[in-house]
Amino acid sequence: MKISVDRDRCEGYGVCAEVAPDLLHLDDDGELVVDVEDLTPEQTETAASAARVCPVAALSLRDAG
Amino acid sequence: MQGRLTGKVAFITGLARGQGRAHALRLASEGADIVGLDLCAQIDTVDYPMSTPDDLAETVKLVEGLDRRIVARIGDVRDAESIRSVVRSGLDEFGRLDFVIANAGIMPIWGEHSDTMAAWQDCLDVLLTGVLNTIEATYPQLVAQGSGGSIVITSSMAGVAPMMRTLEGRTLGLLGYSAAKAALVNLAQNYASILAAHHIRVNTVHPTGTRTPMVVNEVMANHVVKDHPDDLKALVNAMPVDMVEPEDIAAAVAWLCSDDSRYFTGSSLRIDAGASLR
Repeated sequence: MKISVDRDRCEGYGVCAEVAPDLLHLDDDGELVVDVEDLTPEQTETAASAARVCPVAALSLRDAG
Repeated sequence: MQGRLTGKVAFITGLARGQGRAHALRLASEGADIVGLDLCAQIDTVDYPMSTPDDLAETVKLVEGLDRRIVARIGDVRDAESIRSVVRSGLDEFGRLDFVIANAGIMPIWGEHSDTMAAWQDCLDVLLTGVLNTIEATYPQLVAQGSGGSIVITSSMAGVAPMMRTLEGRTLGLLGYSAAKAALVNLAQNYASILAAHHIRVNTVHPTGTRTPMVVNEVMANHVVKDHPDDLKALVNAMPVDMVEPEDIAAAVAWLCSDDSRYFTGSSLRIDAGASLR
């Protein structure tokens, strides 16, 4: 699985990065950066948590490939 | 974790802080997963600081710390589609919905913008239409599931007794707040009546002054302490406490969600430290 970011929606709140600091971070400009391309099953669970708590529903998970 | 609410899902408006956060933590601690929204922005007629995205993030952190799942979004109860969108997200994640806590509120009752028709209208829009929108967006799912449910509406002691004590304390915002909170009792009774056949219960809670950022802030303090000390009488409890805690209201909400209250519906539950005795 991969994390997909809807850049039109993302406001850079960073709640997702707090929930999944090993997978996502905000850069110096406040832009969300996805740090892990292909998620392990364990990382997928964490990424799902991050998607659930995005205040503007900008994150989703999609199949790798 | 096994609790009274294990396997259940609660939808909460006003999730970011105050009573909404307390409800989320209490319901999660009893086993429920949480879906909810908060405006996380300012409304022009509200002079005290409203919730922020950081507040919502803190609620997320606290619920996840209880090892429960949470869907948390920015949303506006005045916008029916905004609510429906968050409800859909919750159903996509958890597949069910059991409890609805219509809690989002504002209190533009004192302060610079409080004595305006805009404050009156904002109260009706958030406190009354917002609750209508919340219930309309959720009850069909409860009916469709066929396993009952509980809808809890946050009213206020202002909904059952006049809060105004002096002519000087009169504002259109306070009239709007009180009228909306009173109307919620009627709204709850009608929904309770039509949903009873589906074992879906609908009740209002009526807190006295509660220690949340909506009540404990500079605007309120300036009004009551500095300018209108007589208005403090509206907040006097019979029990020797100046306010109750949000967790006290959350305990009542958890009971109303649980099967411990399975035949309690169409009722108004006062958590008022005896304020109505004064």
